[in-house]
Amino acid sequence: MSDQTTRPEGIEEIRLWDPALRLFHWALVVCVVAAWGLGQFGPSIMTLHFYFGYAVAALLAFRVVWGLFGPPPARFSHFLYGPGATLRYAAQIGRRAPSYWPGHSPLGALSVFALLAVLVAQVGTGLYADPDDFINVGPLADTVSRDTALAAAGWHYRLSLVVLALVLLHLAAIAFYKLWKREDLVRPMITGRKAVRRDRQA
Amino acid sequence: MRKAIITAIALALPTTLAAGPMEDTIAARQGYFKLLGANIGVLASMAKGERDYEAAAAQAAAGNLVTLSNYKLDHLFMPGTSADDFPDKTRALAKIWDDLPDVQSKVADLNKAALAMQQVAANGKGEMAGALGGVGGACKACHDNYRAK
Repeated sequence: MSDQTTRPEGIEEIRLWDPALRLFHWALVVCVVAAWGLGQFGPSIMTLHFYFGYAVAALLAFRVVWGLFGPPPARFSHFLYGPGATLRYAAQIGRRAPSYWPGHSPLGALSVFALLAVLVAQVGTGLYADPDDFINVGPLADTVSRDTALAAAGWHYRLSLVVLALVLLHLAAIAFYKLWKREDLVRPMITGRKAVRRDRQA
Repeated sequence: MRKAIITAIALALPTTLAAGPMEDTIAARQGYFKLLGANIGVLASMAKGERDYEAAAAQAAAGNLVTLSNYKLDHLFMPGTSADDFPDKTRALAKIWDDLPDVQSKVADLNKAALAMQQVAANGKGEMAGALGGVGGACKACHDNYRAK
């Protein structure tokens, strides 16, 4: 079954997401879900949670490098939109048609930046967190005051709720694009290929 | 002048009244947990290598944990001493008082972990550190549910 016949004028399928970015995305899914689940429901000795947290830290470091030096669609500068472009995109979000956006859309970009920022904060608070149980103390907790380390543990918990909210919003947006706008955003993140507007440079 | 003094006393009165048995109870409760922490801290710092392992000190700390976890806690959880009542003073969530038996069962779990620790505390750093997970886990189980984040 080819999309070629149904694809409107001015739309072409391109290689959008490079393999490293896709691998990053799905590795981040696995590590964040595992770390979150272990944090909420895991054993009281949280060694595995720590390991997944370190993996998230490494993945975030990769994403920052890729955001600065990676292929154009992966670069932060590629999806850094001003208020005008963001509002224009938001104004027509309800149109029942695919966006054919060549990369992170202005609204999607907000979600990407928010998720990355919150995950950086989550890793940061985790490293300094002292939950007062003597066994799950963050590796850098003893480099700060006890009050700071206790507060970090509190923020680590509160931020976990923000992570959950952002992930649910992410999934809701994907469902909205699929069901309402009839645009599959998951497949491009697997295959790397996406139908996009030719008049916009990817 | 006299009016000023009476006004001052009237203004000070609520604070004076507030520093009563509730505050004393909260302070005593926090003292109890500080004692727990001080003894677990001895074991944890040995396990982490922050101080040299000493069998006698480890054994003493483990014994203290057994004693402390046998302590009758009821009076420390006087009604009206939750974080709802004294948000600046305590992080003890009000739901402690909704299910005191569960809180007590968690203290009983701590007691079990302390007894296990007491069995092995003098048997070397490795065995002691192995038992620390149970003790810390008992701390965590209660903090997760009953302490404000």
